[in-house]
This record gives sequence, structure tokens and C-alpha cells, in this order.
Amino acid sequence: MNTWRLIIHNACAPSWNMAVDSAILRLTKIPTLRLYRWSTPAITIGYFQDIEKEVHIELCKKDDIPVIRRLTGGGAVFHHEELTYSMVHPLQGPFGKSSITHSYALIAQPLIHALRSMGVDAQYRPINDIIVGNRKISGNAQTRKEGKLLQHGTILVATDTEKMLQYLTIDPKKIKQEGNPVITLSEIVKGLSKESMFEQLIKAVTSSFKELFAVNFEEADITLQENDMAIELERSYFSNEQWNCRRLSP
Amino acid sequence: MSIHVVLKNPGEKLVHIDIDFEKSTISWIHISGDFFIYPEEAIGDIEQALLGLPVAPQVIEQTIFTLIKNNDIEMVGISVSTIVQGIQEAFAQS
Repeated sequence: MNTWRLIIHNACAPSWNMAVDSAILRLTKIPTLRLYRWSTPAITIGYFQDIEKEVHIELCKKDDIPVIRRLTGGGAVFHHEELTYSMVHPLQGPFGKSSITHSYALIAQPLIHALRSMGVDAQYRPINDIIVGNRKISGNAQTRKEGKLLQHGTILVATDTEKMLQYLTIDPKKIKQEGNPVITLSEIVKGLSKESMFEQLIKAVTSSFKELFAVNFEEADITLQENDMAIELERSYFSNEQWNCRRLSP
Repeated sequence: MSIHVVLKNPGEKLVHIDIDFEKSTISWIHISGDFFIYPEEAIGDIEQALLGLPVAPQVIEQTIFTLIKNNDIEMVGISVSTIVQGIQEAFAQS
């Protein structure tokens, strides 16, 4: 049975969250699952997106909502009261053999299993979503660099979805064809406080990864080198307006 | 002034194409959206390779396919045919 590192971070600053994921991708030699929250509402946009096409910039500035470009593709996400995971794994074994689209489906399995264990009828919707009914509860995005894959994604717990729609410019074509509605865990699971819901979800996600990927976890924090790298990446990329506003090579 | 087209083909992600033409050739192009391309930097190579090409579907298609093959590029949620379609739609508007 393989041993993975498990990192559980409480709410961190949005640019730090992205920097830590990126530092782990660059430096780690062992598979790592990181679970984290956000200290303040924020928007991340996909690597290939144009900020002005996805986000009402002036409103974000007015309300102090940072907008950060991710290393990964995919769509714009409003992060608030969600559990985010990031998984870094060498391109070996099932993750190395599978195509990118298949690996989305593969990594969705423990997330779906975790949600189902909480009574949520979650299903995978290609390419990179997990849905309940026809509504999205989790979006996921992957990059592959340095012989490793990084996949990170959200599980919406108590996100204010009306607030979310204020900040994002959602294309009517997309709403028409895909349906954009999202759903949060707190809309489905009743009788739990928000904090209890986060606790249960963290337990459910870690045990689902253990069971489905046959791994053991060793809980740890990021290394000193990863911390130093994250400081540098946060400064030069994720809190840097040039990176966040324009697509540059990472 | 550049032309902007938005495409959402079944099974794909949203693709924006901003483009300028000089006579019948592509003089500037920027492709954006919520798709995935691996490695990510390849988007710049694709845009660069299209500059100066005539708006001829076969030429554009062949150029991108060659780039994909030679550089081990993988596209998810976007296709060569969608890029060609976007260029043609924009050209029709020019």
C-alpha cells in the first residue's frame, strides 16, 4: 500500500492557496493530497481565460474580491465556503497510464464516493465536473508538469451562489446548453452546522481516497522548501497583477 | 478593430476567438476560454503558427495538426475544427 502525504490547511489567503499548490507540484517527490479553505472570498480564472471576459472587474475591485489566474485551465470559480482539494501525483501507475480525460474521471471517484457517503447523489459529468441532478457541486482542473499531475477542485459547502453570479459574467450560450446552476452541500445535507459539515467532508474525502486508491496517509505540513517556493510563486505570480490579468508562460 | 466570436460546440468548452485579418490572412489571433490544452504554453505556439496563414480551412487545420503531432500537445474541451470554425465565422464578419 502506498503512502501519501496529507496536508490539511485551514483558511488561507487566496494567492497563498494557489502558490502552495504550485510549489507542491514543483517540488514534491511523494504523492500529496492537500485539503484547504479560503480566508476571504475570491475568484480564480482558468489559465486560458481572459479576466475581462469572465469577471465583472470593477465590482470585484469595489468589494475587495481578488481575482487570480490559476496554473490550470477550466473556468472561473468563485471560492467561498468551500472545501478545496489538490492532489499531486507522479505520472506513474493509473495516473500515468490514463489519458487526461480518463484521469479526470478517475480522480472524481473518491470525491463522488465521499459525497455519496454523506447522502449526496453525486455523479461524474465529463469533462471535469461532479453534479447532483443537473447542478454542479464540484469543478476540477488539472495540469501536468515536471513528470507530475496536479489536479485541484472545489466541493461547494455553503457558497453564496447568488453572490457568485454577481461577480462572474456567465455566457448565456453556456447556460442554455450546459445549464450553469450550482448546488451546495448545505442545500442537501440538513441538520449539520457549517463547521460540522466541513469536518465530516474532510473525513469522508480522506477515507474515500484511502479506500479507492488503496493508500495510507501521513499527515504533515508543506516542507520548508515548499514554503519558500510558495512565497516566491505568490510574489511573482499569484499576487502579481501582470500574471493575473494576462496569460503569461508559467 | 479585432473581431470576436464565441463558440460552444457540443461536448466542448466555451471558446472565444479574437482575431484580426489583413486582406485574407490572419494578422492577429487570441484564443481563450475554459478549455484545457497540455502543455498550457502550447496555446501561444498555436496562435503564433496561425499568423500570416490564409483563411483556408485545410491549411489552418494542417498547421495545427502538425504542431500537435510534433509537440505532443493534447487538447481537451476544444478541437481543431472549432478553431477553424471560429476563424471562418470571424472572417465572414470582417
